[in-house]
Order: sequence, then structure tokens, then C-alpha cells
Amino acid sequence: MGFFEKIGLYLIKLFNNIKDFIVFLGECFRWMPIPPYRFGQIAEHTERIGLQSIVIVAISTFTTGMILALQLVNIMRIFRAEIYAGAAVAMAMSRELAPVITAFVLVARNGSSMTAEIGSMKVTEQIDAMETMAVSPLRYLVVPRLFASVFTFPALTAIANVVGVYGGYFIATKIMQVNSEAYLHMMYFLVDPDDIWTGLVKAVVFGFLVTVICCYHGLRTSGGAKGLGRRTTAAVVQSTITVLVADYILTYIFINFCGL
Amino acid sequence: MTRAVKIGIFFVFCTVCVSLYIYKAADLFEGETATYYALADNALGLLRDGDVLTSGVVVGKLDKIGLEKGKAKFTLKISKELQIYENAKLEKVMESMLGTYVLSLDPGDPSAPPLAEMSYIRNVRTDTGLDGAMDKATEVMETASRLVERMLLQENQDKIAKILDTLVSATADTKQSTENLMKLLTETLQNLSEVTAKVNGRSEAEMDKFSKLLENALVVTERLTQMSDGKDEKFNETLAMLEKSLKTISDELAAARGAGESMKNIAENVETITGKVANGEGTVGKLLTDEQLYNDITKVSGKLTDYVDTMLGMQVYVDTHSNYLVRSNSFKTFFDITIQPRPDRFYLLGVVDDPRGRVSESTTTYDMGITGDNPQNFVVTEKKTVVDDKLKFNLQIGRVFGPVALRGGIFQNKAGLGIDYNPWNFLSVTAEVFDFSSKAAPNLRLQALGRPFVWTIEPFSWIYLTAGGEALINSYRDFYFGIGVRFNDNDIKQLVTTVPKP
Repeated sequence: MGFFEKIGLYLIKLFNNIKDFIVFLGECFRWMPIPPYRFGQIAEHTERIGLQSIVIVAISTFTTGMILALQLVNIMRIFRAEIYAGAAVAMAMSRELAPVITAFVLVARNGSSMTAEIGSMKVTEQIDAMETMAVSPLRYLVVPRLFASVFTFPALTAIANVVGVYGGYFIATKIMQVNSEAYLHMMYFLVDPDDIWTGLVKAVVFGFLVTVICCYHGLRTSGGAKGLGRRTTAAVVQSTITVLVADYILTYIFINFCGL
Repeated sequence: MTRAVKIGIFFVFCTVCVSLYIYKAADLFEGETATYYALADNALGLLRDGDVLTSGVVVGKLDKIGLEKGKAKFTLKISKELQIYENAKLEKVMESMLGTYVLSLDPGDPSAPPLAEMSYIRNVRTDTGLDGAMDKATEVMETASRLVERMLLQENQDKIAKILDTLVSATADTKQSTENLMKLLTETLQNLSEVTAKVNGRSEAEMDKFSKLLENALVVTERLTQMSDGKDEKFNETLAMLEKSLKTISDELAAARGAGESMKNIAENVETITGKVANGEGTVGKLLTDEQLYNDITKVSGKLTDYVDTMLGMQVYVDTHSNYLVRSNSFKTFFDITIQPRPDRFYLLGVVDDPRGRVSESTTTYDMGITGDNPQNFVVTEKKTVVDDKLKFNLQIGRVFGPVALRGGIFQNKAGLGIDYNPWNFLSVTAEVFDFSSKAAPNLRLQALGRPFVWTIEPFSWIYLTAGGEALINSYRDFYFGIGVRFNDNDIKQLVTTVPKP
């Protein structure tokens, strides 16, 4: 096989995969608004993605807020402006860090498990059995997870926001001896509700994208246990990169088109 | 704990967290605001939503920063409680060394007419703070540099040397004169001090003695006059002058003593009056010392202020809109009047023309007159559901917490609750749940309301569009979109000012 043939085959495979993913995405959009909504399954996944991830999300963002405050207070102290560290921590948390860190944690914890669960069903031919019984696997397995993710990602991001800000406050005021009143005043003065809203909107988009990517890889699993492992790794890597790319695009849109 | 309870707690907790955070971050400026504009040369360092201060107190917000005619255009939202006059001054002042600025507003004084809403504040200064100081310092340095250059010229140096000589000589003269004057002044002051000490040292008894001495002298001069009996004219004249002088001195002394007495009497009277006032006697005393009376007056004046504020600040909104219900292919029309006596509360009265207003079900059984073994053939049962149009009423009370408004009361003839969220002027979201008495699930209504023309002029800015769904958790759920107008009616406002405040 020649060099150019290899490149050509790789590109054809890449375009086919992209086409396949876009069709899958379209199917998801198509099935999401159509009832029945399978509330039982949505609740089950909400509990798994949301409730069981609170502690790990809280620990991640609390420590992030602490680290951020530690660094910022030291830098700001050079300019005698350490009271601005609170605003910097809160803005960074609400706009970027809370949604992104929450998404990363959920990709690692739930995205991989989604791919593994659906992928193992695929390799043990349970998915084929469902299709034989005229049950759409996408509607039965993917749509409830999508709903659960779209609700729980922003909810966890909200908690991450508050916990992260408190982490920063704790370090800045209790350890670094920054005046607490001034710290909070500048924080509330400079942080805008739009900062919080943009973070929550990002979380909704991240939740949707992560779930679609992880479920897509699960449903396309083949090649037994080895294939399942490969798909799970691909799902986690692609979800993480997609979160970062989507974060940039959304930030660009919010700043340039929405003036936020 | 069931899964549903856990999820419920989770979402409520998250909602409360984010709502509180948003509420705190919203940095809400309480009260009604008026909009003013200002054009400035430089908006550097100013932040959108930054504070506008008067005497260091926050009176408004810098709502927008734009560009007009090549200058920075500020849109200011200033509290209506602050009266602004046409001679108002707006100044950019430095907030911190990091280069952040806020606006300081001097509202002007009543010598100028009040500034109308949506007008421009003409007197704007933005060359203040560090930038202004640096500009001034540069200017001073340039001038000083030019001065030094001119001073270094030979002819100017000679002139300066002459001036300095003259200055040294003048300084020496001035020093001598000043010393002489100081000496003279010191002596005069010493004399004055001695005289004062002597006068102060005289007691009342000595003054009496002096008075008596004068009286005696007067008597002696009279007697001498009588004794001389007009024989020596010069002697008589001298005696007459002496007598006159003594009488004058005696009269003056009596007058001075009389004045002292009067002052003493006045002081005694004042002491008596203040004592009575302090003891709470008389009208003034009661007014000053009666705590109950003070409390009553405070309460009355507070209520009066409250009433005046309510009357002046009351807003009345008229709202009418019609929604097209997609599934039932019908229109639902609303007419509401919202009375808002204060910015943080309102009352809503409304009428709703509901196409699903009256739902009646009837069951009719017909005997078919057929005989046989199967009894199901004997009768036919017909179930009929009739849905009629009906007028329904809204009667709600609401409280406003920043961008969130909570409502409770009667929603379309049924008890219910509602929440409105208005993050921006052009968009609001509403959720209502009511009709808990029906056997089916309560009526859940979600609505998004957009005001696409909010930035245009009236009456276009009154128009809004709606979209949403009602009875969302019922079998007869329906989706709708619609159009409406909402405006503030000042005529109705004047009518309702006579209605007692609830």
C-alpha cells in the first residue's frame, strides 16, 4: 500500500466517522423531544451522574479555589491589591473553571462508565437483541442519559462554583489574612450574574457533548474486550478535548456576539 | 430515602446555591432609577455597572458605555430619590491605584432648573486622577524647564543679582521695623493688661464706696456754691463745672449698675424657663420631654412619608395579550392590571378568556330495545365531554427580589404560585403552578416572554412576544405562542391613588 493510498484511506475513514457521528447526533436531537420520556431511567442516571459525583466535584473545585487564591493573593499583594483576588477567583471559577473541571471529573467518572456499559452490551449482542425486538437502543439507552446529563452538569457546576469560591475565601481570609469584608465586597462588585449564567450554559453544552460522544463510542464498540478498552479510552480523550474546544468556541461567542 | 427524594433535594440545593450566588452578585441597586446621559473625552478605567457616587454614597450605576460623535457616551441609572439639576457635575475619580475609576456626581443646586430624564449632563470631567495629575506635573515641568533656560542667560543673571541685593537690603530694614513695632506692641499690651487687672480687681463694695464718695463730693460742691453766694464769678463757674461733672459721673454709674441689675434679672428668667422646660412643664416642655408624644409624632410623620412615597412612586401597568394554543387550535386572551405601590411589591388583577374554561362530562344511556342472551346489546352508553369558553379571574400579590418576582394568589380562579425571572430587559421567564384541587396533576405553566422592541420608542417598546406551554404535566397539555402589549398608564394611576393601600 502506497503512502498516498494510506493517507487517502485514512481521510476516507475519518470522513466516514465524522458523517456517522453527525448522523448519530441528529438521531439524538430527533429522539429527545419525543415522548415517552422514561422518567425512571432519567432518575437513575441523574442519581448516578449527579448525586454520586457531588463529593468528588466539590473536593476538586474546593482545592482549585484554594490554589487559585493562594497564587493570586501572593501576586496581588505586590500591588497592595489582594482584595481583588476574590473577584479574580470567583470570575475564573464561574466563567471557566467550574464548568470545565466539573466536565472533566464527570468525563472521568461517568463518561468512561457510559462507554463501558453500553460497549459491553454491544459486544455481548444485547444491543442487537434490542434492535431485533424493535426497541431503539438510542432511544432506550442514550436519550435518558442525555436528559440526565443536561440537568446534572449545570447543577453540579452550580455547586462547584459556590464551593470553589468558598475555597478561595477560606485560604485568602483565614490563612493569608486578607480582610474578609473587602474581599467579599470586591468579589460581589466585580462578579456579574452573567458570569454565572455563561458558566451554567457551558455546563449544559458540555453535558450534552460528553454524553453524546461517550454513548456514540459505546454503541460503535466492536472487537471484544480489547475493542471495548480502545473505545473507552477514545471516548475519554475525545470528550476532554471536545470540552476544551467547545469552551473556547462558547467563550468566543459569549464575548463577541453576546457582549457577556 | 427514595431516589426521587434524593434527586429532589439535590436539585433544590443546587438551585438555592446558584440563586443566592446570583442574587448577591447581581449587586442590585434598590429603588426606581432615572436615566441620564453624559459625553466624556475618556472612559478609560470605568467599568460597566460601576458605581455612581454622590458624597461617597452610591446613588446609581453606569449602565452602558458607548460611543457618540467620537466621544464616550455614558448611560447612567440614577436613583429618583436624588434630584439632579442642570448645573450638575459628573467627574471621573480614581478608585484604586490599579487604575480603576468610578463616577462622582454633584447633583447641582436649585439655582438651576431640574434636569429632565433622558437628558445629558453637560458638565463632565474625566481628566482627573492619576492621568490628570501626571498631565499637570508634565505641564509644570515644561514651564519650569523654560524658566530655567531663560534665567541662565547673562543679562537675566545680572538682573537677578540686582534684585537679590535689593531684596537683602529691604529684608534688613523690614527686620528692624518689625522689631521696633513688636517692642511697642509688647509695651502697649502690658499696660493694657495692668489696667484690666486693676478694673477686674475692683469689688462691688469698692464701687459702692466710690459711688458714695462721688455723692459726697456733689453735696460738698453744692454747699460751697451756697457759701460763695455768687461773689466770685470764676469760683462759681469752676464749682458749677465740678458739680456738673460729678453729677454726670454719678448718673453714668447709676445707669451701669441698673444695666447690671437688668442682666441679672434676664439671666434669672432664662434659668427659670429652662428649668421648667427641663422638668417637662408647659407646651414646649412637654414637646421636648414627653417620650410618648415624641413617638406619636415620629410614627405619624413616618406614615405620612410612607403615604406620600406610595402615592408618588405608585406604578400602574396595563397588560393585554393573546396566546394561540397550538393543540386545541384556539386563542386564550388575558387582560391584567398590575398595581405597584413600591418597587418591591405589586398586586395583579386580571381577567382571562379561557377556551378550556368549563369542561363538563355527561353520560347518556340509550335502550336499543334488543332482546337476547348478551346483555351488552340491550343498551348503548354515550359519554360526551363539552368544553366551553369561560371568563376566569386572576388576583395575585407579588414581591420583587431583584430580578426575581414571587407571586401568590388566584390564578384563573384557582389558588396557585408563580415565579418570574427577569435577567434582562428584553427577556423574562415565568413558571406558574395552580389548580391543586383537581384530581389530575396541578396546572404547570412555563412561559418565555421576549420584548424585541424594548430599545425602540413607544408604543413599539410596549409590544412583547410569548411562547410556552400550559398544563404541562396533564394529559390536556398545550403549547402556545402569542403577542401582547404592556404599558404604564398614568391616567389610571391618578385614579387609583385614592384606593387605600393594602
